[in-house]
Amino acid sequence: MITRIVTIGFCVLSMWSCASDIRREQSSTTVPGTSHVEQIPSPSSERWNRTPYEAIFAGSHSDSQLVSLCTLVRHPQFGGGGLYRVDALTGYTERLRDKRDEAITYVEFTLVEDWFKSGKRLVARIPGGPAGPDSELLWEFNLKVGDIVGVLFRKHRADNAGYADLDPLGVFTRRENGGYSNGQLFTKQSVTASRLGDLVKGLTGGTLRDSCPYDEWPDLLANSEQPTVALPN
Amino acid sequence: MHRYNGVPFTVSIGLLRRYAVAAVAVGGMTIGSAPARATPTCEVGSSPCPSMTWPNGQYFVNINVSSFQNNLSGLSMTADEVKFWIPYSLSMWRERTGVQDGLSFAVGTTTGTPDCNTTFNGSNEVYASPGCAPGQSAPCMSKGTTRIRRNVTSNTYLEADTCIWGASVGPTSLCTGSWRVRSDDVGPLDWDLRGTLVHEFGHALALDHNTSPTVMLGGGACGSTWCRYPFGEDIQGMRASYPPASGDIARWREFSDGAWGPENTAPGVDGVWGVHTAIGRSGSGEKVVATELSDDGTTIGFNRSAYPLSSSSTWSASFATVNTWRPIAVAARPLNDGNGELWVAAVSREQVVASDCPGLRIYRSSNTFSSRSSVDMTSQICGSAHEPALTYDRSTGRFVLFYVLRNSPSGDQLQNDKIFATTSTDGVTWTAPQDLTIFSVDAVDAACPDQFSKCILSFMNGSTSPPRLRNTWFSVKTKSPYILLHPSGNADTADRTPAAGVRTVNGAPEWFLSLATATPLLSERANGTTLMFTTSSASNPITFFPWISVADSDVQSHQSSFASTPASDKIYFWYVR
Repeated sequence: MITRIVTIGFCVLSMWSCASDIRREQSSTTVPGTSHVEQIPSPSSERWNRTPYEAIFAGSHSDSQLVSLCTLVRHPQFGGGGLYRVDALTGYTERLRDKRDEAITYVEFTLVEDWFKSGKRLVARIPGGPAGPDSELLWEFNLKVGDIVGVLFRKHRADNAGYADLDPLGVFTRRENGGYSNGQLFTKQSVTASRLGDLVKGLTGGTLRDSCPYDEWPDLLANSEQPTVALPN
Repeated sequence: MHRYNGVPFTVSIGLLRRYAVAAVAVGGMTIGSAPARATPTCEVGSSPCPSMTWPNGQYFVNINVSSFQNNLSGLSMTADEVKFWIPYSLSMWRERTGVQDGLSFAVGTTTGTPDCNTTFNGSNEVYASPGCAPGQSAPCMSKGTTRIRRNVTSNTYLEADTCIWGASVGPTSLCTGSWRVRSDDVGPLDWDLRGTLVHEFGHALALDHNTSPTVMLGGGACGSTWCRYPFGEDIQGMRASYPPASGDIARWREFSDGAWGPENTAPGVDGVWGVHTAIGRSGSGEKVVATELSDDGTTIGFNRSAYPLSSSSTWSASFATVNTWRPIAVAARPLNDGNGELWVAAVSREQVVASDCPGLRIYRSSNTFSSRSSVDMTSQICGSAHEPALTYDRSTGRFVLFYVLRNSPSGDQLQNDKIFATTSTDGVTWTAPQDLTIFSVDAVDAACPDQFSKCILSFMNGSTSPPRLRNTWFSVKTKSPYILLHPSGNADTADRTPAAGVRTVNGAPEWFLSLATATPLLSERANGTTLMFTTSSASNPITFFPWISVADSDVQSHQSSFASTPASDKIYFWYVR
């Protein structure tokens, strides 16, 4: 409740409209890995089909290797992480500079617990959303407004208009067993958000290390089926 | 689909929940301050999710051939190889799930620059990009991406584009090998293109990730060929999305006097998903038993009629509850008391358990079905066994079980699909599995004639140069050891799940083999449409007669079977349409 009140207050004071409004993405947001608010330009001069969602689901998929927790937080694209609440999901059809139309959803996060260089308020820009009359590009994420999720962000990149970037393996959602999983890690072993945060903090230790003191591997398979591959250099 | 007394009808609560959620996911585009749309949410591990299907079960995909030829790290393919392997990978979803009429494919080609972004053009495309997924750089973590656009109102697919990320391997990657497309194993650090394609097509057709060791497992490991064959929840999800046609009926023809008789039908006992047959003996005489796996994978149906069959044969059915999603095998033997015994080999739904062992089970029944028992083969066979073939060797009085082992007993990463054989007289004690040193890539079937020292073994075997699966090899082997005697009948462009049979004519064996032909290169259906077979002479080495077409249109099931008895030179061929 306290968090919610603070959020509402912040929305008012910072001119962030807590109701969905396109200008909010054009005004300000916080970039992962930093603690200050940056001005982010609009990624597109044309957008339409504004669609607020209560939830989005992973109908599209990027299929990944089996990746350990250490690999995720040591990945060159790792851009900080924490426990976040999903505040809003707003989709648009956007016309990009190359004149392609792209279905995009903006995911607004508010920090609940800092794990590593987490921004307090973030807006992620992800593929998926309204794609035309009666059509929809499916997302790679299962997210619902109000959800508390663990997020390991990617560093923001120019071709995502400076918005926070998400990878499906970097989003840990609450499962039916009460634990948090990214679909690979902790699928059988139930891990609380607090425990997940401790694991990430222990692997980062406030700064990225050259090697991880421990690791967690995907538990999709039996132990003898775990891959025996080296971590990236 | 029929349901029967005593057979539990269970539907996943999760599945029902998803359907219910999906059913309310309707609404058009919103403009201005529209209310938030309630979009169905799906948890990883649920399948199918979000329960979308292609309208009328028709999926048309265009292959960007040139993109696959050179964009995959470490792998060069000819255009013909691309045109073979991609439809072949797609065909797994029909062939290995038995959805048959519920789903059809069409395959074409497209040209131009691979477009792996979110642009939609009304064409389902599959292509390879030389780079990583957007936002990734080496070591990139994604192997492939399938982006899907749906019709919001009808919750059906509008378009699905698949991109394979060619730079997923490299010197700084988690896996340091290359992309490989092979009929057998890949290197331990290589990526298996076949499995990756099958996985992505699973998304393009209906399925979400799941957390069981299946094709749709939410993550892959290099060196693994795991994803080549749908299993368990893969099959469950696909069959739920594209239900088999209710009118499927098992067919049979009799071969006698040197010719095949007319087509006859036998009623399906619980839908028809493959048919395996045997001729056993009971107190009242010999019986033909046709076994079928139910649509929902929970029931084996036994349909029984007096031998010899006729067009007016009457059938009686019995059922056994099982837990399998794979085709089954059946064999029968006579007993000294004049009755018979049926054995059924089935792979359980839990293909791989914590001990890495398969759930291969042997079900035993009296020929009257009055008593049944089952034997779990886990202690005898450890590894990812699948595709069992069961036959009775009358000369030794032993049942012979053949199976394909997906990973070697030494624990290699799901490589080396090999055929093994083991025998038993009681179903409890089995001989040590014999490695037939056949690196098979597909199903195996076998038949042992009466009083002869050979069994016939048919299986699919890929050629490695070029690496294709066009060949089905038929081999005849002595009973012990099973040494390759005569690799013949190498049928180019033949495809999928051969069957083997044998009858006795004037004291000599006559061999029967069947296969379903396919036109794998950009055919309308990447699946067999014509069934053919041949016979052999009794001489050794065996000479195969020219192919005889037994059904020249639309035989869609690759699960066919022969049934014969030493008391007669009749042999029956069973198939499904």
